[in-house]
Amino acid sequence: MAARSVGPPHRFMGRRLNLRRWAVGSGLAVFAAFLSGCANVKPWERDVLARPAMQVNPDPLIAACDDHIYFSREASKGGRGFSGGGCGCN
Amino acid sequence: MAVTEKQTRLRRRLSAAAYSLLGIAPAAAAGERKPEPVQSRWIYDASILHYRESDRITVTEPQFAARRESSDERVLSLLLTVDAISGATPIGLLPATPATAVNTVTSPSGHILSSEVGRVPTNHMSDTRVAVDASWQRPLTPVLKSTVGGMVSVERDFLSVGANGALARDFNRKNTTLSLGFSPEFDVSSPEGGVPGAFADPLGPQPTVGRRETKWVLSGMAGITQVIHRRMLMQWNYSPSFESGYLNDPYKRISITNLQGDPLRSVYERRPGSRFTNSLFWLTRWSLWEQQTLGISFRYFWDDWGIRSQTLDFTYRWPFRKTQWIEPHIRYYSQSDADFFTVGLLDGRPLPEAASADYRLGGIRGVTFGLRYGWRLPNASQLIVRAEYYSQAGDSHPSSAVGQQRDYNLSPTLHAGIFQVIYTFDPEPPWTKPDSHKRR
Repeated sequence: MAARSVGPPHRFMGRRLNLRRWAVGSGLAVFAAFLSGCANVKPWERDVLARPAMQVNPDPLIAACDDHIYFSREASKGGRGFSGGGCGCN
Repeated sequence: MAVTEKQTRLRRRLSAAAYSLLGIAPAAAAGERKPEPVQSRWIYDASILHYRESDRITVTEPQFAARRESSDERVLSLLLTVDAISGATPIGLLPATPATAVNTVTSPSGHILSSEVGRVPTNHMSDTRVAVDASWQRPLTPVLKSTVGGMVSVERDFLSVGANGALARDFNRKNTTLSLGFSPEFDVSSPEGGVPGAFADPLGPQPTVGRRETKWVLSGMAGITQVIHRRMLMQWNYSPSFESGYLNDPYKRISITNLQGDPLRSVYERRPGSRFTNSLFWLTRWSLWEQQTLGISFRYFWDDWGIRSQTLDFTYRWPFRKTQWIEPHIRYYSQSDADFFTVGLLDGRPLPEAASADYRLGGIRGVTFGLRYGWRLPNASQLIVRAEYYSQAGDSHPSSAVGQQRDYNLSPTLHAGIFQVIYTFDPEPPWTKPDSHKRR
């Protein structure tokens, strides 16, 4: 039978640790703490956030054209929303 | 009596103002009052895009969009797009050598391809695409919105039909929004001259295997939009996509050469029959001093074809004279090549499982520099003009090239100009509403 992993297992207080699971869990916990800590903007403090330039997609027609151009010239797609498509150019 | 009426009116106005600040409908809060009638308005956008590559493709793309926004937060969006494409495009073949320059290559449609010594061969193409997109957004509850949409795109040799649906749920006084979406798409490819067989010789007895082929694309999206503080928000998206079916480009070929690099003949490409892609996307918008807004986004993309890419995008919107703004834009893109990408195949060697010489599947880097200008016109409309320069470079002298091909530039740098004008007509924009004048 071949060993499943190479190198000594990582242990803490006698228990075996799965480092990848710990890394993902810690990352999610930090991310959740980050989100809960910064969400304190009141509805009447949204003047800046309501400006057109502060929207996630302030110029949809520019974004749509750029997605089409780069989708047809590069191998990547998606990100901002649904993956690009609907075109035989790539 | 008059004083009492005046006081009542003033109290109602103050209540309405307080409720609107809190994001609560005054009618719902008052309970006994009748709901106000739903009001709606149309907003129109007209756009013309001109994209031009040096010595290659030119695209002219007019777009017309109409959006109906209602006071009950329902939004209907319609978009018509027309693409007129023409010009020369590389088809994956290697440059001719002095020994093979007399050979010409004929495409299934009868086009003669260029075969100049030392230059990447190109083929002239032209096509027109017409696409219609529609979407309908409506609130299901005060904190839950749904969006459904559809898309049809028609070209001479390609048909695409798609749908999409998404849910967005607000949390934490609308400081956090979770989004989930799904989009199926069905494509039919009907290449000119027929569908070429995998690794078929275009000059062979039977290069085509049928009239049309199809593919499915299933895409998903999960995202979080988070208000960080009063002047900053961030968004994180994860978008997986699965494609299955005919994923070849029917016009792309691969040169077969001898050890001296002479292209002896060519075959059509063959890509895997499925592809699973993923992208992680992060966006920040940060309002700095005097309404200047910084936008930064980063995307990491990977797929099971071995392609990895990074995209960094930067904008800085700078308002001036109250009604105008200017926005520099910089984009950097870097991509590794697909596992089956090759510049050519060697004669006499067994054919691989999959192979493509499409430069878009090779290692490439792209840079965009642009400037955008916006002007809010007095007649309730807005004009946006942008001019951008896009440059894309690949590996011009790849190590896999053999013989004389090592001396040639196999991936000439692509230079392209992007010019776009967008005119938005909003019959009743927020800054001309009667209420905004009353506040003075």
